[in-house]
Amino acid sequence: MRKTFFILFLLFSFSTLYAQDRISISGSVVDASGITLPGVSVLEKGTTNGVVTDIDGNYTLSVKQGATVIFSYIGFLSQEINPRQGGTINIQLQEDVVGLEEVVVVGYGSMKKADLTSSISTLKSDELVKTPAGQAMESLQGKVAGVQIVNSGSPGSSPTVRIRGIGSFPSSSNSSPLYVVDGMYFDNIDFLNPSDIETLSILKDASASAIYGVRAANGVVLITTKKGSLNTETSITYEGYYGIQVPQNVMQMANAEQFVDYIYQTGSEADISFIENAMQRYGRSRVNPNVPDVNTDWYAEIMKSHARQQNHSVSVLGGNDKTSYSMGVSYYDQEGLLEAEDRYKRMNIRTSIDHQANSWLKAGVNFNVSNGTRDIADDGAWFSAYHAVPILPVYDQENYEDLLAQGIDNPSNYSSGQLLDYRGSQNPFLNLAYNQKRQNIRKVLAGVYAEVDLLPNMLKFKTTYNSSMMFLKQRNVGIPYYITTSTRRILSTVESIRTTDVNHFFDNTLTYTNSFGDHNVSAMGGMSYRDEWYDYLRGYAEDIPLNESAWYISQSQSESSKQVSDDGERLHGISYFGRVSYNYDNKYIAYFTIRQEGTQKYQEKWGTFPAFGLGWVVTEEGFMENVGFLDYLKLRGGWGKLGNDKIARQDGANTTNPVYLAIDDMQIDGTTTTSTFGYLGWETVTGTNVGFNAELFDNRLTIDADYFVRDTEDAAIPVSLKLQSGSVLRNVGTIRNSGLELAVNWRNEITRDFSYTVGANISTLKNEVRDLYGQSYINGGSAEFRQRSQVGEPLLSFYGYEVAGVYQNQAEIDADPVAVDNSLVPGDFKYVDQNNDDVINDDDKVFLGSYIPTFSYGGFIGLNYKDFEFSMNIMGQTGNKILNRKRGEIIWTNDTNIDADLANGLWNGEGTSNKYPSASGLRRGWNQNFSDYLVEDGNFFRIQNIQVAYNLDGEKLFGAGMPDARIFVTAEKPLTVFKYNGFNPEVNNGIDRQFYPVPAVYTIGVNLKF
Amino acid sequence: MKMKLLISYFKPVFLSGMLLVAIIGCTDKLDQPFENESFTSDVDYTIAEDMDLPLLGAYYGFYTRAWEEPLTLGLRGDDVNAAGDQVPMQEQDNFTYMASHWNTNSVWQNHYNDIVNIFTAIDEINKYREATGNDALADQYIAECRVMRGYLYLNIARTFGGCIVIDALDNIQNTPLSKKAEVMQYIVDEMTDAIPNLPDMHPNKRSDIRGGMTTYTAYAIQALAYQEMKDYQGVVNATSQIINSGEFQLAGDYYHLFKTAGKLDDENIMEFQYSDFNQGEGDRFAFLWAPFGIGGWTPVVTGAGAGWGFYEPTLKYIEFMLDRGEVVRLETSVIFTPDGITELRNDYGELPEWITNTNREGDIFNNNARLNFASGKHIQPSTELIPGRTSLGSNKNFIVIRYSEMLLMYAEAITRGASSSISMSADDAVNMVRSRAGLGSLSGVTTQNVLDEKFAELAMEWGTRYYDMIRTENTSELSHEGKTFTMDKAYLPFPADQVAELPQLEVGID
Repeated sequence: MRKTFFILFLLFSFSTLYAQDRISISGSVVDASGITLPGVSVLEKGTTNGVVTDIDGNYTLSVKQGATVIFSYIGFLSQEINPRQGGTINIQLQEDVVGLEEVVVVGYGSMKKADLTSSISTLKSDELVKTPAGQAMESLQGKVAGVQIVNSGSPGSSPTVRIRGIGSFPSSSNSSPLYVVDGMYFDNIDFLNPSDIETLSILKDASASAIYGVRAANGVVLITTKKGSLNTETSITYEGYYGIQVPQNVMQMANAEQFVDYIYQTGSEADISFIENAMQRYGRSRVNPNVPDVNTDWYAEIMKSHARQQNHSVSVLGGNDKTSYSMGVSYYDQEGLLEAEDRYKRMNIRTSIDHQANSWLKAGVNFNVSNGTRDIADDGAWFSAYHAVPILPVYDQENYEDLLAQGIDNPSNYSSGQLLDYRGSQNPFLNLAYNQKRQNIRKVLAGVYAEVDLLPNMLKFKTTYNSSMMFLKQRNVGIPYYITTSTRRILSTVESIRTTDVNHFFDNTLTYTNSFGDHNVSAMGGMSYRDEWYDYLRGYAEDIPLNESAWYISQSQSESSKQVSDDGERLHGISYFGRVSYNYDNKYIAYFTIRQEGTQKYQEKWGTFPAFGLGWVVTEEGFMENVGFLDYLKLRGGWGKLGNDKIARQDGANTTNPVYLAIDDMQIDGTTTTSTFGYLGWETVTGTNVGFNAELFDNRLTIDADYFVRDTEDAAIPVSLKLQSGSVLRNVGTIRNSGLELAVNWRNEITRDFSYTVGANISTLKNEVRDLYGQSYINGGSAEFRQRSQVGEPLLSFYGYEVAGVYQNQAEIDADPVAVDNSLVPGDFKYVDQNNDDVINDDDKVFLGSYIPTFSYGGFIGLNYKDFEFSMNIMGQTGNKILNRKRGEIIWTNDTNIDADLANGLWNGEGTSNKYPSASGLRRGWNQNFSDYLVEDGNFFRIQNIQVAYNLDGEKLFGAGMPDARIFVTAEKPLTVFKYNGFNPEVNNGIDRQFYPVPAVYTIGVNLKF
Repeated sequence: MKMKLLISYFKPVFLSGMLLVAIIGCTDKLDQPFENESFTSDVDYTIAEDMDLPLLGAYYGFYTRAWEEPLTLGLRGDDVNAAGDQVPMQEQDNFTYMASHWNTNSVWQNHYNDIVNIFTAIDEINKYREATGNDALADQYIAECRVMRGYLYLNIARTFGGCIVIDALDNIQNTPLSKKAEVMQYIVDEMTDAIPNLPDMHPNKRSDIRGGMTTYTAYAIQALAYQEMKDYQGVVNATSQIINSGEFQLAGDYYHLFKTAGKLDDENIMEFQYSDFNQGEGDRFAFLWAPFGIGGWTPVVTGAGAGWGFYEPTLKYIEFMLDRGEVVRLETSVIFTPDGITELRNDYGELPEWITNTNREGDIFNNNARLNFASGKHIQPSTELIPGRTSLGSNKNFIVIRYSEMLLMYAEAITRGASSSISMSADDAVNMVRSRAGLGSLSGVTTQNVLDEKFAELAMEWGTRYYDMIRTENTSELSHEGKTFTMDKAYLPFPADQVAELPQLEVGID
């Protein structure tokens, strides 16, 4: 079956050729307002015979009589003419307002936007580079309905991208979409510089992405890098900006006075003695003698006031009549906010060449090299900074001098909570100063293709061979230090990791396009072979010299500390796929794809994934002619099925693993054997999408609307083991994501000098567990902060008690049997007794919300006045919850600081608070039960981006040879408004423990075009 | 015309066709095995000498204990206070139990992890049986596994008042809850079955797995189970096997029994073995002793790690010992801080000269806000660290069952009217323990004498004192130092998480 697949497409259709006389035509090309257009491509259809218009918009071309000549220019509708005889033919090109002739990149080819029946959003490079970011996906935030981007402030880290919700259980699958960069698959695109991207298309629904089979369950992002075009003059472009990042919404912690006040309220003698220790050691505050003379704002200490960010790129594009080329160099550099080695630098080199070798062969190469260096500050510092007490200074000179006097090796002048008798060292600078983590990330993407015209303009064979290689070197060094007997690292440590990924993709497609009267058919069939190879080597040693050049395992003076381990994986995949798209008179559209996929990864090797779509362009119908305001209306719908192979491979059988133990002080080997194992078949996603595109009022108003239902069947969910810890993956669930997406755009030109655009998008999302194959629920999260997936609820909803309030007085305690039974005191939480049985237990736990936003919105306003441009984006989301686990951690360590909101809001006598317990209550197990006290609203609104730009015509202003310039200033994320008691409402899994907050960025930049 | 067309398209069609033919037919790649994985089905069970590998894997699981397990099991008695900042442990020490406490769930899961691990180990041993042609050895290995499993069940049932006794791993969902008495009977039967197959010697005389399970480990666990059932004749029968074997001796030096010198001592019937493998760096197999340690000390060996201070001997115990004129057992069991000495002096009056905040080896224990006393049986002096190692207690074994406990259990059972076929009397047994502790002999010992002796001898060790008080329903002793104990607090509730997974636990234990 599979092997005969191609034969269907080998339907040769022969046309006859006539010998013709040649004629010469010439003329000028202008736009609608009569302005001449230089650089318009004038091409004899089906040949490579063509020219471009000169600086005055004039052309001269000799063509065969009866030939079709195509005039095309970016941003304008192409126009075809059939000159009967030579002579002057002047052409007026219409601006491509509608964009329907626009070609959209789809899987293994491209389609006219008019022929689409599925939901695809495309962003162009100018939109992408508005956001000063190292990662292209960051700039999508709030711009595309149905796409959720959760950023992290850590330089070089990739944002979390979710297309239409969460279809797979988060811990068992990577929910990131598939990125296809110039035909090559990637799980992340951190190696690309956004300025190298030409277009970025998001295939949101299953009927569009099903052609990518098993990789496409979470949506597909298609990226094409910048390419040159034939017959264009060489242009050299410089784009660059320089900016600063500024921390925003910095979390307010309890200061020394508030902290001391809180500790006295807890009544904990031990904690009070630590305060006394601090007063003894560091003196008393002159303002309040009961407070130590230390008031450390740890967040302020660990963060820089601002951090730099810059990007520079130079690209060269162009082409003659046979060869087009594009090359570029770019450099990105971002410092992090932390006071440590915290930085990301990346250099990219790329080139692509396309060459028309002869009448039937076109070939090209594409090459992209990325060399990044990431210094990663230990993000444990964010956690420590929240918990470190404000009465601890950053440095302790006295201790340092003591250590020096004692002659202790590697003395440190940082302070440690242990000097005040706290259990932990607390000081976040120990995370920052004594850990060095560096990644060298080198990626090479190389591809070569050949395109053979088997029948001109009808049947085309394309073969593509792509390779990507990633070399990751990671070096983690622990630097020795000594503060106290427990705050120390005696020996330096080095961990060195090499990861190599080498992936080969071999794709072959056959594409057939033809028209029979009003019937337009395009068919594609192909196969793809994948070979993905992963190799890992890790070494570890202790006691290395402290100079950086000696941070190698072989420099270790401790032979016995050396460890080595390795790992590897090689996965093969084979797929066969095909697509047929048909339209009748541009009125009725039908679309069908199928993919058959084989993978080595699961116990079930083969899966088949079909998709289809239908469209109806209502405005093409005769009866619509009188509806004047409606220029275009297309109704469309699609259905598709695809697989998810991002789920970790499963053993499918018991494994036996080596262990060692001590018997009589000797190291003895043994083995343990697993009692359970995961067994997986395909997790499949079935998506249905209906929607319409409309253009109204002379194309000024465009509306795109979609409704989708995406069902994940046989979802792989970790099922807890009975009695033991741990879980195994099984295909045991059905998860549904459904929602509505609406994007509306209005643009208008008031005068020749002034035009504006206003846009808005909204999307709703309902995530729901539909079936758990007989189980009533599946627990997730941790036992202390329970998340539960249950039929009818969103995936991994928080699950615990609902706080009704705080017991205010003894009378209230006495009146409540629950309070009496549990010996509660005023200031303790009163939980809602859901079943009114006067006992608070598991039966009273309820769902407390989910981390998945139910409503997201974005807005855009753009103004153009003469050479000025102004644009602003806003975005926001509602309906999601965040687990404030920073507060919750008190169940493990309670001698730490608390945030100012909590410190000020603690119950402290009747009527003081009905929201927070008393200070001592924070330390009672009753109040540490997981409840909605720790689950907060994650709603936020943000001004995402403001940009003001000024365009300079170099030639006009300064004379010939001077470049055109665009100067711009940008404010990225200058304002975020939210109620959540945290640094940042962007928390990708809803559990806020130690997230790197996202800064505001202010940049100034310039583009030059020579 | 058509001929010409065919010729002009021959090249592209031919080349493309060649390519297509070349790429079809690589589907066999999909069946290649995963890299870096040893499937159980790939294990070569014909290598007879490998039969000990799964057994050692069972020991590995048995020895690998989380830090919170011994603390949770040990802190409810009147010998121990939960110090430190762990709310669940403090609440449990105060007999306030919550099904949501994280540490009880951990004890449950960690014990069951190893029980399940033992099930698979037994399966694996059986697969080697044929190759070895040595049924006796296979039976011995399986018996060792069952002894370890018996001990794990003993802990769970004593702690939670019952548990699920697994019959088959695929039937857990349908296995009913067993009450404590049923679990104890199961353990007794298991040990009876295992004993004939085990090596009949002191664990430290084993040449294959020194310190492993032997007949006498099984008898000891059986005796403990009988004691929980208040079957005192059973206790005498099992302990007299141990006593009569002549394999066990009380260590002459009580203090050093709990130090490096006591590793695999003749007194030890069962111990968890840990080691630095006699090297100052590199691999080690260790337990995390830090929670037992004290936050601030000035160790003789600079850089020796301190602890967290979660486990504090009670003032009640110390005063009990002072009243008895105990020296070596008090010195071994309790580490004093200056604040602790002051508190003790204020509460008790004049103290013996020898009480100081410095141990024999010279480590100085400083004041700590969380605790005034620490557990000496669990804190290894810094001088015993192998040079290069710094973690508190690195290389220290964890003694689980000692011969002295067996002697005292024997004595108590006799005082309760059980008869013995060996010549040792209750007085003899108690006096052996007392004389080692430097105390004079008693005659005509009563049950209370024995329980007091157990308190003095076994304090801070694995909750032994607590189980004795529960068994004797002695709520007044457990209601110590401001805490109130009632018998309904005898068992911890089943962890909420376990109840959510296994509905048969919902009924709970009365």
